[in-house]
Amino acid sequence: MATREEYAKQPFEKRVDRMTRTADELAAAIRGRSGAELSRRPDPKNWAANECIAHLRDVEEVYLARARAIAINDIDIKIYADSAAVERWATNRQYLRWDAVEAVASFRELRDEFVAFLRSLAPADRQRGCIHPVRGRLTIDDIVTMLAWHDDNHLDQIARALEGRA
Amino acid sequence: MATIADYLKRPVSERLERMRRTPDDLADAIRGRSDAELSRRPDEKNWSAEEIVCHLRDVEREYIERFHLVLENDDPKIYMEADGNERWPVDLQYHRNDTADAASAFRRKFARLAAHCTRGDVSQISRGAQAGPMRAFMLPTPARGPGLVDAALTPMLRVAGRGARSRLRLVSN
Repeated sequence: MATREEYAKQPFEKRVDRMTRTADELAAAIRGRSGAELSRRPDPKNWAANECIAHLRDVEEVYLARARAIAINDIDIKIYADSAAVERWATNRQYLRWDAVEAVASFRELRDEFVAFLRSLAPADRQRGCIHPVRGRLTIDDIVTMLAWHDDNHLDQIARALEGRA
Repeated sequence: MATIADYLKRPVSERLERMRRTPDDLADAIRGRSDAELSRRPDEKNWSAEEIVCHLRDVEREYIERFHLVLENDDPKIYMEADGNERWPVDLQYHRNDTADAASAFRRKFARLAAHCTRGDVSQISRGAQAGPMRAFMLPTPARGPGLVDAALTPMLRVAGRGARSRLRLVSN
């Protein structure tokens, strides 16, 4: 699996191409699996496959809105980010109850929208950014790197969860 | 039921006080109702009680981010999809939620939102976003008013307040 640093060295278009494959890879990863398998956590702490997909869906929505906010502002806006929020979403939005196939469909819709947005940007616009409270300046280009790596990370986690491994 | 215009005339403190009652109002509205009652839509188009509670829970998160953005930046432009919330019931699979758990999550999120709203000097709440970008912030009714956090509290109240309770009552009945 490529690291975030390795992804950062790849051309923008190649990283976006990687993003275009994720919905199909998710669909393939869960094909033929029962609801029980998809919602089974490998241990009390680590997510089940359906929780990983719901998380990918929600992250997509947040980063698409974030990238669009960057694009419409002339300055680097300070954004709100809360690293503990991810676990709260899983509980509050009841990810364990989600249907994985429907979640992939929702993810696909958002991802297609995101990729279309990214491909519409001029090269200079990809370097526009915001100020993240922890990471500092975060450009749209950085977000693409993060998402490409994030996809790999959770696809790997889904495969492990389905094998009963954390 | 008070309109958005009515609420806009009230002091921020009064509107915040109104919002503080909503978690209890929601808990009261769904208490003793069966899953079948809570998940029954009054018709094909209008939401069930369960979907309304989930919607309120998820709107809280959006507004925490927006308030923070406005408070931390000078005149930020806020992006908002016109129909973003409309697709949540399907995309976020509201029909699979447990309504009581969703109401509990709303209570927890509301506590976080209230902390953001009342943080520091309440006058900060009147810091605004530019008028133009409010088309995005206030869609689909850009004429609703200036782009102030103060003004944003009002449509929230409409959703979180008596409007939602009336709708809850309606669908529960």
